[in-house]
Amino acid sequence: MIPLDNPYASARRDVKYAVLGAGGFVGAALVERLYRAGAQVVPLIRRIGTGSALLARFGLPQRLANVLHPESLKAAFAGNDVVFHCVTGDRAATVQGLENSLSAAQASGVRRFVYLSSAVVYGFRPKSAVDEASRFDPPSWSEYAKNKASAERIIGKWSGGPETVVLRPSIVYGPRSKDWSEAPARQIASGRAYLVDQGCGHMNEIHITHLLDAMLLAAHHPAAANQIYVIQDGFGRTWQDYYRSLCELLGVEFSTLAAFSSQDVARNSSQLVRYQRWAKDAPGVLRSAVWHDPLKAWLKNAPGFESFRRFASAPSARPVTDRSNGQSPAITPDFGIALLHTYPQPLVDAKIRTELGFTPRLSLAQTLEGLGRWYRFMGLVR
Amino acid sequence: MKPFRVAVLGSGAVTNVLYRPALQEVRHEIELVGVADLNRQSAEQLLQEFPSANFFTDYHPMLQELHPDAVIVALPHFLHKPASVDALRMGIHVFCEKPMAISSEECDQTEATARETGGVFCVNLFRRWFPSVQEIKRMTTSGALGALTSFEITDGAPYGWPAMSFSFFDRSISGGGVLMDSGVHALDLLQWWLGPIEVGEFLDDAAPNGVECDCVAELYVGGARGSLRMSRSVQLPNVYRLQFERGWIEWDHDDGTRFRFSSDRQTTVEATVKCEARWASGSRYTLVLAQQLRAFARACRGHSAAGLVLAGEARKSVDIIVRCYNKRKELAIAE
Repeated sequence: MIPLDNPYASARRDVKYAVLGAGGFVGAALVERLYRAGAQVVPLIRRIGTGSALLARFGLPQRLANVLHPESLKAAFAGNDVVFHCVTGDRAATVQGLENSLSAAQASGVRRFVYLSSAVVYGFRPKSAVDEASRFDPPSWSEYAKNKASAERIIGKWSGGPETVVLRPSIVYGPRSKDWSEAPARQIASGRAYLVDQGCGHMNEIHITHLLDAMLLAAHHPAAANQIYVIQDGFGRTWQDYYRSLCELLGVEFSTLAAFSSQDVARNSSQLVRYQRWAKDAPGVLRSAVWHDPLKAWLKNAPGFESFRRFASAPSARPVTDRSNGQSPAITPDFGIALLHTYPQPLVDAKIRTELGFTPRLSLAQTLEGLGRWYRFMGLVR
Repeated sequence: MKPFRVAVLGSGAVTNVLYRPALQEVRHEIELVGVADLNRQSAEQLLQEFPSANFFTDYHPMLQELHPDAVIVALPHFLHKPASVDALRMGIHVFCEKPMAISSEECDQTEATARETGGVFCVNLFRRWFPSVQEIKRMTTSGALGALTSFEITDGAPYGWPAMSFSFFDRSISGGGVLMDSGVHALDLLQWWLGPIEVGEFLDDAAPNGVECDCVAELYVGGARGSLRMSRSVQLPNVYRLQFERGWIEWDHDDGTRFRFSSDRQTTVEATVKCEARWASGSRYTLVLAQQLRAFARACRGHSAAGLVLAGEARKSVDIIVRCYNKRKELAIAE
C-alpha cells in the first residue's frame, strides 16, 4: 500500500481510540488499521458475532457496549481521546443511540467524536451536484435515510464537547463489503446481476481504505473540528463502470448482465408501496409515464389487487442464464437499487480535499486488485 | 439394566444447542446426573429439562460426589485435556467435544492416560457418522476410482455460533481460530478418507496474539496436492472435492445423505444413501450425537467401540493443525 504523506491520516500512538460498531464492515476495518499502526484501540461491539471473529485476529480485548445503554458507553469511553461512531441499526439505535453516545463522550472527556453518517440524507433524487450545504431530502419510505437525517440534526446542534466531525460517504466498497462488493459479485457469478437504465447513475463510491484515511483525518486534523464532509473516491465511475470491472474480475461477459429500464422496475414492482415510493422519487418523466400518483395507482387497480399483480408480473427483462445450473433465474429488480443505478448527481468532496488534504491513495487498478484477491479466496474467481 | 449415568462439564452453547436435545433423545438409556459450570444461568434450561441433575460450579467436587459412569467434556478448548485426564484418573469414561486438545503434547497426555486407566475416551467428530460420509469412506477405501490426484476443500460462513463468551476468540483458551474450531472436522474427514496428510504451506490472517478468521492450507496426501480454505467471515462454496485418476467425488459440507461422483470423468451420479429420513433433515445433528452417545455407553460397558473416534484417531487432526500453525504465513485479504 502507498504510504500517506498527510501526517493527520496516520494512527497515532499517543492517542487512545474507541470504535463503536467495531463488529461491522467499517468498524472492523478501522480497528485493523489502528491495530496495525500500533495504536491503542478499544473495539466496542453490541454482541458476539461475525465481527467478533474478525476482531479476534488482533488479540484485543473486545468490549460489549450498547448505544441504548448509556452506562455501558460511559465505562467504555473512559480514558479515550477519540470515539469513532460506526453504528447502524434501527431508529432507536441510530438516533437515541447517537445522543447517548455524545453524552457519554462528553461525560468521559473524549476530545473528538467522529460520526459516520451517509449521503443518503440527501435522498435519491438531488436536483444538482451534492455538497455539504445541499438540502436534506430523505425519502419518506426510507427509514434508514430518515434516521440518519434525524441523527445528523442531533449532532448538528450538539455543543459543549467533544468536538464533532461528520462524514457523509455513499457507497463504501472493497474487500469484506457485503452490500457493495460481495453481493454484486455473487449476483454476477450466478447470472442474477442486472443494471437499471444501463447503470448510468453516478456511483459516488469510496473504497474502504480511503474512508479509513478520511476517518483518521477527521480524528486528528485541527481544521476538522465541528465540520461536516462529503466524501468519495473521485474516480467518477458510473454503476456500469463498476459492474464492468467486476465482470472482468470474475471472467463474466458484461453483455450477459440483465438490463432493465426504469419503467421495467416500476412494472415489476409487486407491491403498491413500491409505486408509492416511485411516484415520490422517480424523475418526472417516468412518473407521468407510469402513474401520476399513488392514489391514481391504487384506483387503477382497485378493487382487485390481482389485476395489478398480473400486470406487474409480466416479463419485461430479457432472459439471463444462471451459470451454476444453466437455467434462467427470475430476476426481480429492487426499487432501491434502481434508484441508485440512476442516481443523477455527483457528490462533490472539494471541502475535505481542500481543508484536510484528503487524497485517495489507491488507483482504480489497485482497488480492483484487492477485490480480485478477496474474490479468489471466496472461490468466485478460480 | 441400570441407567448409564453421565455428567456434563460445561453448559455453554454447544451443550445447549447440541447435547441437550441429544440427551433428551437418549434419556431412557442415559441419565444426566450432574452439570458443572461457572455460570448457573447457562445451565437453567438443562436443569429444567433434567430435574434430577445436580448443579455444581466446579467439576471436581461434582465428580467426587456423584461419581458418574462418564462425563461429557464441553468446556472451552484449553480445558479439554485437564478435565479429560482428571475424569479418566477417577475411573470415569470421557466423551469429549472436539478438538481433543489444543496441542500435540496435550493429546499425548490424554491418550496415555486413557491407555493407562483403561477408560473409554472418544471425541465428538460427528461428521464421520453421516451416511454420506461413510459411503465416501467406502469408495475411497475401495480404490475404485484409482489413485487420488488432487483435492479442494472449502468450509466457511459468517460466524454465527451462539457463543456465550469470548472463549473462541482468545488463543490461550481456544488454541486457535477457525482451523482449530471447524477445521478439526474437515481435517479429520480428509485424513479418514484419504490417509496421512502433510502440510505444505499455511496462510492465515491472525496477528501474533490473535486467532485466525480466514485461512488457506496447502496439503499433501501422498503425491496428491490439495487445498483447504476456511472462513469465519464470508460464505465459501463449502464443497469437498476429491479428484482421482478415473473419477471424482464431491460432498456438500454437512449433507447427511447425498454426494456426487463420477467414475468415468464424464457422467455425474447424484447419489443418495438409503437411510432414516432424519439424516436428511435439520435434526441430523441431534441424531448423530444420540447415536454416538449410545455407542459410547455400550463401549463403556465393555462392548465394541466401533464407530467412535478414539484418542489415537482423534488426535490426528489436532496434530495437522499444530503443523499448520507452525508454518504460518500472513494471508492478506482486506485493505
